[in-house]
Amino acid sequence: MKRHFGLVTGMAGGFWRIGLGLAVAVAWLQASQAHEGHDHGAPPPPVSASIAPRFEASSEAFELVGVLRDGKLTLHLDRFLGNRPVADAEIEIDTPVGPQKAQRLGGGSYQIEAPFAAMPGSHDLIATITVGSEIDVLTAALSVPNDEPGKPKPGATDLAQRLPDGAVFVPKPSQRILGLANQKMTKDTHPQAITLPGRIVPDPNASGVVQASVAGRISAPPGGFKRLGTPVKAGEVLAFVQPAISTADLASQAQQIRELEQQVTLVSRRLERFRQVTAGTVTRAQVEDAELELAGLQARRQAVERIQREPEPLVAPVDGVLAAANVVAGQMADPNSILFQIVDPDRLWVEALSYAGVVAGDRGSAILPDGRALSLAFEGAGLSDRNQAVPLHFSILAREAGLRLGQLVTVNVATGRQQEGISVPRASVIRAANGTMLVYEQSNPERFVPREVRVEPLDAERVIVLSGLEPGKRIVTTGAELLHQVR
Amino acid sequence: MRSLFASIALATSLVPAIAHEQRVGPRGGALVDAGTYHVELVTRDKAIEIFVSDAQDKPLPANGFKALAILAVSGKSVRVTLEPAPDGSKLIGAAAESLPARVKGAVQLTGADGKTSTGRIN
Repeated sequence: MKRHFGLVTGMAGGFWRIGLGLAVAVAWLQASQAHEGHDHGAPPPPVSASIAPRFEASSEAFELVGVLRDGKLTLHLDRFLGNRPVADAEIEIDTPVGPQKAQRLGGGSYQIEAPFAAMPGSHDLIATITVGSEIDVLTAALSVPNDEPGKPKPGATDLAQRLPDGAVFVPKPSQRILGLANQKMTKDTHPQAITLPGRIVPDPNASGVVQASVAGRISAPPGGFKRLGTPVKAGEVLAFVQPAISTADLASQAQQIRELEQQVTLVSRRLERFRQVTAGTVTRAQVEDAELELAGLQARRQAVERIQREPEPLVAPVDGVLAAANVVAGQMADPNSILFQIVDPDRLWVEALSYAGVVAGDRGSAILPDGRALSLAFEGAGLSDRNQAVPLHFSILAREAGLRLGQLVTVNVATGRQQEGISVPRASVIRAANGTMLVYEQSNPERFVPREVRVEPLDAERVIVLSGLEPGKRIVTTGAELLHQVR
Repeated sequence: MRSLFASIALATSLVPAIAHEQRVGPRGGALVDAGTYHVELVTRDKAIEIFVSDAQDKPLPANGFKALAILAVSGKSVRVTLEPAPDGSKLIGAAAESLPARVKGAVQLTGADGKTSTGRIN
């Protein structure tokens, strides 16, 4: 800020003053950079009266926070990247009264007795941290305020709070409860992606429907109707349809039977007569013809009778699971109505509607309404528009439990163009109350700064930040939503 | 105009100082800020030397100062106390084992008034 100020005054006063202004600014910068006394150039968090005196120190490997309360200094050690507590460290603190080994409290917290901190003022500390073969030395200064009467005392615990500048102060114990984790973000080139609406559809080669070919009454197979979700094999009988015959058909059938019976009687009489008369009058051929005619007539009659009696079995066309069933015993089925739907849950597709035309690449991903991600392989695109959009088909690569047909999903597919940005997990990005997108940067061990960003989809798990974020910052990846709730 | 270019050049040359790289002092040792002092730590085999200067890099006599160096050397921490050299130009101390030329750790400087200031070597 001061640097800009110097520049502005310089410009107002002419060229020679620019030089002077810059020089002043530079001198200030040099002084401030040289004597900030901590490692990462970030401003220390403002001290609030309700928060216990504390120090913080960090290196590339560790983050150490010390909290002074009731004459004891509690130390919280975490990894600088990831923000995971380090529980198996040996910590030695060089206090103004000599070195002291910290006692482990578990869960990444340690403690030392701090009688030296009874005196107000700044106390220089050096922490030597040993984790296995890893060793690090951190420096810190614990500032103890003067005990003034009437000044509010810090409470028994430190509370997470939003600071006046919009940043959020979260003490280490609260961070561990919230499970806050961070990740260092780098700028990279990523494929540009577009988001399409989609829904789950069955794979046409691994699904089928069962329809009745004739109108009729439905009856259960032996063992009853199968429950929804039951695995079925191809060829398995799911139900029977007893064909319903109309009165006219019934009358003509009865007529046909009587006609056939009449003919059977006539032919059998003739055959009997042939057999009674002496040989030579009737040829052997005539007898055989009559016998054949009789057998044929009897077969026809049986067939006509069977039409009335025999129900049509409804069989499963493919292996799968019974996805839908619209049958009740005794129900009349219309021909062509879908009675059963069979789907192989291991082979489902996603149908997406692309308004932007055909996409490039053979991979995609989809997000379910509950946030789960599916990886997709491109199967094909339609050429005819449907509702001004091209239907795209993707197969789901890995089986995901709990998928339903018709379930709505958001599909992300690459467009073939590349763009530069910082990829962050979707869980890192929060929509603020005013509609802007935010990510939280961990600027200090206990301080989180909201950064307004512009994001575009990348895939099911990540989005790409195009502006508002500098690479190399630690971004909260887990617990950002909870962090945002802090008032 | 010359001063304009000079100050811009100075401003740009400062940029690396803002980064995390460990600065190197005039004697080739690590240069760190400890409170209001600049401290240069030079290691020679087992010996450690500390040169103290003020914020304007003007050398200060070592008399009256004491120092403690805690260094991370091959997976162990090494503590070395340093006392002023007889000629008063620097603080000297010796470690139990030989030290690499580039070390990581921290230096705590105690002034004549008992005030301590610490600096970290990356």
